[in-house]
Amino acid sequence: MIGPKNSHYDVVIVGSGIAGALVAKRLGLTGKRVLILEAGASVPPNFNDYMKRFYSAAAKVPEVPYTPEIFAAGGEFFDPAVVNAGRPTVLTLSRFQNTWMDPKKTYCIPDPKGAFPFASTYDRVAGGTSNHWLGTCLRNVPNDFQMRTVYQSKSGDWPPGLVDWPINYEGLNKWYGDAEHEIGVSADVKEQEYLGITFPPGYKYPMPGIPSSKVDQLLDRTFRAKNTEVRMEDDDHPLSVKQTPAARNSQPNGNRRACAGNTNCIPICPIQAKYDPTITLNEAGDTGHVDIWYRTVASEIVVGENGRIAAIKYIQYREDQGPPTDTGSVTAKVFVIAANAIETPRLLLMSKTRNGTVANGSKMVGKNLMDHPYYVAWALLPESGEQVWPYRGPLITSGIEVCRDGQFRSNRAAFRIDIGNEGWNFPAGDPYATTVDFINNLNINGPNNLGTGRKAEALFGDALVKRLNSVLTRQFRLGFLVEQTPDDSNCVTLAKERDGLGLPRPQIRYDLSAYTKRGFVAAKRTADKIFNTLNAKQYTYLIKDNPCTFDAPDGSGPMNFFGAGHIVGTCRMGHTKGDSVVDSELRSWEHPNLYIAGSSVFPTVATANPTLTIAALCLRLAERIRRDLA
Amino acid sequence: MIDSVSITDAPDPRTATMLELSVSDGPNAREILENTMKVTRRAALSRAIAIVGSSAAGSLLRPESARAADDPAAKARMQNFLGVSEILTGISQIRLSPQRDPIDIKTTYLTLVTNRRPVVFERLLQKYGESRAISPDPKMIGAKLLDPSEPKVCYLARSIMLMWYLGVWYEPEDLQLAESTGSSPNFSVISPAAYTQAWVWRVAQAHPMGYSEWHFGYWHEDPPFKLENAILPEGTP
Repeated sequence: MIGPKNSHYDVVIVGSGIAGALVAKRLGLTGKRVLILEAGASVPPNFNDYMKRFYSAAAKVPEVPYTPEIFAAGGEFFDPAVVNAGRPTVLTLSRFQNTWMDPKKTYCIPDPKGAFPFASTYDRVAGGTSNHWLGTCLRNVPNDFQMRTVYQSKSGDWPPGLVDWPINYEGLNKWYGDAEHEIGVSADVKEQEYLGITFPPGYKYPMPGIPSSKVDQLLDRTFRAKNTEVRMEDDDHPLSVKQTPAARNSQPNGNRRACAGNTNCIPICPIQAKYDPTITLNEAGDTGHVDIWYRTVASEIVVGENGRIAAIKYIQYREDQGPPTDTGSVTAKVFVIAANAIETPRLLLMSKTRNGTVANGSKMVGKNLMDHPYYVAWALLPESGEQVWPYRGPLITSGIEVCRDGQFRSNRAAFRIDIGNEGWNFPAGDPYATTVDFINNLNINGPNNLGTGRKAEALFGDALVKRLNSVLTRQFRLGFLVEQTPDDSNCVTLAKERDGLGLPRPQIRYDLSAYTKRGFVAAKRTADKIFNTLNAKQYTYLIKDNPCTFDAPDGSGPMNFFGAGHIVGTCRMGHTKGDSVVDSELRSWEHPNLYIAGSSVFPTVATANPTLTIAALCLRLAERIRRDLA
Repeated sequence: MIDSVSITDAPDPRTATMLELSVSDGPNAREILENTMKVTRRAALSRAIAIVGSSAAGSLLRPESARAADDPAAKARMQNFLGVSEILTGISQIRLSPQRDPIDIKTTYLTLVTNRRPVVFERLLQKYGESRAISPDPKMIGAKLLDPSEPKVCYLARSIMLMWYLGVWYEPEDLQLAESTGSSPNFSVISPAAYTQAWVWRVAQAHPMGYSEWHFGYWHEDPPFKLENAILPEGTP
């Protein structure tokens, strides 16, 4: 809603994603007057508009249901210089014609000093990027919070950025539980007690766990049968399959239905059985105390007396590429920046002070940008063996979590493994690509190899049906989310290129450290081991001219990595004002009424998908702000 | 997994450029146009293709469904199209064209093919008739239609197969080029309905991603139907 422009609020929040929405709702419930500034558009009046955009899209990439438009009428990308609230997209990361480094196509500018494009994207729209999250709600393991303390002494070559968090698991335990109930997580406690994760006595998740898929069941059975035989090379623990806790309804919940297994959590759940932040935004609005101004871009944080933030300046627009329609500033007692780990440092860096920029006494704003660089491997189960029928159920229902912690972390990055229920859809564009292979006498994906001389053949009729069924029902893939080290050279700065409002766009320098790359090698070897155990034939291929390619440090050749959409770091919380941007309560060291919310405050990316930890930290933050205002 | 998948460079055919389908006549054509216009506003359009190939094709553009209802020739034409489609796809006509067929994707497809490739499609239907007169064996007929010595018919036949399987349109020339270069062909999206009607999902004993008609927990079990039941005349899909 665009409320009457009351220029003074108790709290002004920048960003309506999961972080901003949760803080707003909690404060709204206590009667605080809250304003959210959202750079992008509101949810369309009819949710089906999102679905139509999805069904009609040629490339069903995560951002397709959402605005703003990516393409001009002529089929070219909109020049980000004319878009008022631009965003990086999967399509603009393309290697074709070097799109990813062309400032006329790509919103985020790659810093020439970096090795790779930053491989993840985000959205600027009501609800933010978590519109198309998967729903995974893992807690961090306790050692994720104390990497330096636990593992540095055993390491000869410790990455300097891999620090302890200023909070620990015990401090967050209660807030994890609060978050799980706030957003509605389906899981079973017993299944989640591993690697030191504990729950308060008698704790229950709000909904029972999500049933496993046929792929999960096959892996679980195989691992159990082989007992300790299937494990990582540098760890003694056998691999095991764990149910993935998910913000996905396993039973009707509030006004929302149980999951119907649409296999479409990303880009969009058609029935909103998966939680997304627009649900919390609605509830925030229902408190009667929360206003949201859409298409309102925060352009500067203004510092007043005693270092306190006095106001936030904004620019409003009506059309995605139209002229600004209004500018102004809002004042509040407390300000929360909850954009994301790229837009938050961008806003801070755009906000000048007498001797620098806002919240940047440590010069750490924008530094230590992280992701879970993602290794994907895919294989086909033997034709003589069983079918697992992918392309059914939620995109992911189980993972392999034992890889998240162990002594190996003194030497190389940990990872977790997710087990895909969508066949080769993500890595190889199936079921499309393989169908084209069989009909058009091609073998781009690999399995069309039973023709004369093991070559491709063109099939039709009954033979086509049977072969396609045999292949598509035996596909599976594993994804490895590798814990990237915080490196201060991986950073967000301001580019000389501008957006449609004349504001500087983000510039990103990005690389992977040796420690991170060693984690990739371990991931690849673990994938190979799992496939061998299943007698599955691997079809993982290397995309040679992909800009996200590096040589494996063990000399085994080049590897591709993908982005996980886990944009983390850049405003880290820490122990002292010299080592961080915010303190353990997410408050700026310099500005007592300025807080930062979201994954940008994570000191390390850790081994869980970040959203549940974001939510836990935000509920804790809302309580802190409530006390501030009391 | 990955909350914001970055398939930076996977050779995903869906990242191929989307082509504009424009049409000018008939209610089904209009439906395509409406859907396409929605598509084109946000899609990469490198070149426009017209469903209406030439003014001579105008006579073919009377709405197929309306014609089929009262015109024996149109009925026969649809019958031939379904016959060709069954042989190529391996999916029974009664599945391609069920008795209760509110979505009526077959008419969308027939209109599209007729308008896009009026001459070659006539030749394909003719070849189908000739082959059938020689032998009713679907393998024989299919091999004739896909005989590479007549490439225009062969690649149009493949376009028709891919349309049924994937709900998208591949130009025959693009398929020919892709085969010779070993690359992924360009394609164009037809409509949201075509996406949800794509047969590949049923052949995989699954459902279109984003279009499940099943209920919570089904994925824990084997599929509720056998492959044969999805594609053959008998049984329950």
